Amino acid sequence: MIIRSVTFYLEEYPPGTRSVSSRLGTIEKTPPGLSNVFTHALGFRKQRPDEVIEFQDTQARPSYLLTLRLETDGGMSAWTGYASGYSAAELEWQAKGFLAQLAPMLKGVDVFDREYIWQRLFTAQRFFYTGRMPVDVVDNALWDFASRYARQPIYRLLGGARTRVPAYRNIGGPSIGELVEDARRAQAEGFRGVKDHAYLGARQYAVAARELRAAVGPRFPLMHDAVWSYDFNDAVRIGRVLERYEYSWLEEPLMDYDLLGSKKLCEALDLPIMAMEWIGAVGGQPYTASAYLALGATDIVRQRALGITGQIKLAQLAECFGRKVHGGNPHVVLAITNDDMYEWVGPIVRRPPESELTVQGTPILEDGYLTIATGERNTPEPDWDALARRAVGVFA
Amino acid sequence: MKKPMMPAPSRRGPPETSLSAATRRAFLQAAPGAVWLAAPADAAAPPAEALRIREVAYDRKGGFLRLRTDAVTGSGPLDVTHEGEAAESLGRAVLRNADAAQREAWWAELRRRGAPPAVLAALDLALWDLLGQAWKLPVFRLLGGFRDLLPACRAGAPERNLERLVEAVGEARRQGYRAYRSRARLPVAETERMASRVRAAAGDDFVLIHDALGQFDFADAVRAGRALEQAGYAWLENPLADRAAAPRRRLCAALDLPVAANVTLASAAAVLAEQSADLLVARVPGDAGFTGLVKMARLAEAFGVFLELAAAPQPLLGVQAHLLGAVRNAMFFFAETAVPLADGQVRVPAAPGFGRLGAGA
Repeated sequence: MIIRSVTFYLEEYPPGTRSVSSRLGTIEKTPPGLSNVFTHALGFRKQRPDEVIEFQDTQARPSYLLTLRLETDGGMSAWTGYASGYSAAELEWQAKGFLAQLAPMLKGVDVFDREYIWQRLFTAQRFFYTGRMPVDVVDNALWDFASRYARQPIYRLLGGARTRVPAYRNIGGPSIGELVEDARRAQAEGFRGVKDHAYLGARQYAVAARELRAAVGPRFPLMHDAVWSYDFNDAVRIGRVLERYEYSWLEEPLMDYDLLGSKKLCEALDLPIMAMEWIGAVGGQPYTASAYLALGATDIVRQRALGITGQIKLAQLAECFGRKVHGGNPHVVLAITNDDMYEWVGPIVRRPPESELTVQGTPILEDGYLTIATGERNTPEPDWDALARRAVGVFA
Repeated sequence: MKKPMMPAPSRRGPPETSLSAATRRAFLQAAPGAVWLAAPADAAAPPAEALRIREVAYDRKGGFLRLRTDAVTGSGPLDVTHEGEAAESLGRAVLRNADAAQREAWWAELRRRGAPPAVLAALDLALWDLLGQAWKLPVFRLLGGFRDLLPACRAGAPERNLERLVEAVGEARRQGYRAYRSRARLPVAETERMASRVRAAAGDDFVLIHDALGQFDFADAVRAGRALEQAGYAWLENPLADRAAAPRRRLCAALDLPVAANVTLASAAAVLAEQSADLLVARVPGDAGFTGLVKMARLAEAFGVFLELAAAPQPLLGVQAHLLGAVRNAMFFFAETAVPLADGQVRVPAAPGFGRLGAGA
């Protein structure tokens, strides 16, 4: 089935109110003050009321959704929400930019030639400075198309290694007591592990780790995400603490850029180290990960590769080195064998009623596991004519 | 003119655009009043139960391992006949009543049980073939297609006689092949002669590759390599008698000419990590089936390295084509026997599953 046309539909979207706040905290020098490393304040203190800066819309503003459609000659289209925002004009020009620079690479190509399109758009990232978004969005839409065509959820098209994976929750709190409380809450909700982003310094974190382990009991997975908060010596010290309390991994103790420091740390600690969330986010995976793996600069690769196509590449690359990956699209996570836990971010989604389920599936949390609930019904295509009539703009 | 909006669920900000499930949900929320078209014609596509494997059988006559569901049969060539029984019994233990779509799980399970490479490959190939047929997709497009035409390279039989070699290269060229891979155990001086002679005969626009059958010591390999460089060869296979990685790594560094190494899934990561090859060559079906070849190709791609496939035996030519059709990092379809060519290229079978080479769309 050949992609014949590329069309954007710009439509009004429910009005929204925006707000922005400094409540999350700021970047501060780590409290013990010896390493001169900066970290996010989230882990060790709350914003004081006099520090908080907030802006809030007083009334809802109109917003807009841009939908991308790739129409094939086989009577089916691939489509996806492409972008949304509060400016119709900006979205219109985003669509036109795509049409001028990227659409010619899609027209006339078989809709199942995802590898060709992925490779081309990957290179276009660089040439047109598009960033990773178009590769991500188009690739996922092409996989969605294959899923509707074959009437299978994507994870089964990818090999369907598993039907569920244990899920964990991120916990937080400005004091050890609140951190422990949050861990207990996640455990009570059925999560099968917890991860904190608390920066407390090596000595204080040892107290937190002891309290957390005591609260959740043995064998309940605990993870610590440092988000670049340590220098090398602190990371070793913290790592030893985590080993004592049987943590599952230490995430981003050092900057991703510190490739050789990460290598040295992986060699020093028994505890698995995870890196590459930041470097992966830029859009270079899987290609950036080969050096980390060859050097042994990470034990677990944070999955940030582009699209489902890129994520499978990264997972297979890591697998060839006997390494794990972590994160990414739930369909990829279920399709592979080398990702132990799923990080459930955002509101919990339970199994919807049968009538709402589709063949494509919905990632849900069930019994503390990520699973993908599927139904018998294929996701129908939108009525494109009705959408065109409703749209404030159609660009092709 | 603004259109009246249907009431919609409240939300805080723009929807996520990186997950297709999320965007689909956002889309549905955005247009609750929309009239949906009927689902595309897909009545023929099977529900999950139809992918249950009912029967595992070794077809002795054809040399195929077969997996049957109610609707389709997947076939995996297995030319090592004495392994047919092992494949059948292991296949039955692991795959009978199994859900074929969980092929990655079965691949891992077969490896865990220590399946011999040929057995693992036959079962794994049959799974891929079955799924392609069930979902009505050629395997390379089930993976995600990169191309459906593959430039072909004639992989010549070992030939020490220079005149006959020149003749073979000329014939390959006339047949439309775009490249020739010679294979000969020649002393270094003769290799030098071969390089210039074959290049002169083949012309400048024809790709030449040489396999030295592992006969040189390090110094001779450098000399031979320089001659091949001079004659514009594309790469050199098996230059060193010593198969260890360290001297090959030195040779890679010394020569501009790319030096290839034969790899398996078990060895490829180490070869890439230590940079002891500029180019990898794997066999079909290899030590870990089609799934293993895919993984090896992705691994090599992440290192910016090509993974070429050695010419496969006849029943596996289609498999060879499908892998090459799904990857960027391979140059040629290597053929030891004559294969159907269109403008010097092999067409990846377009039929569901692996199909047969040259069988048409």
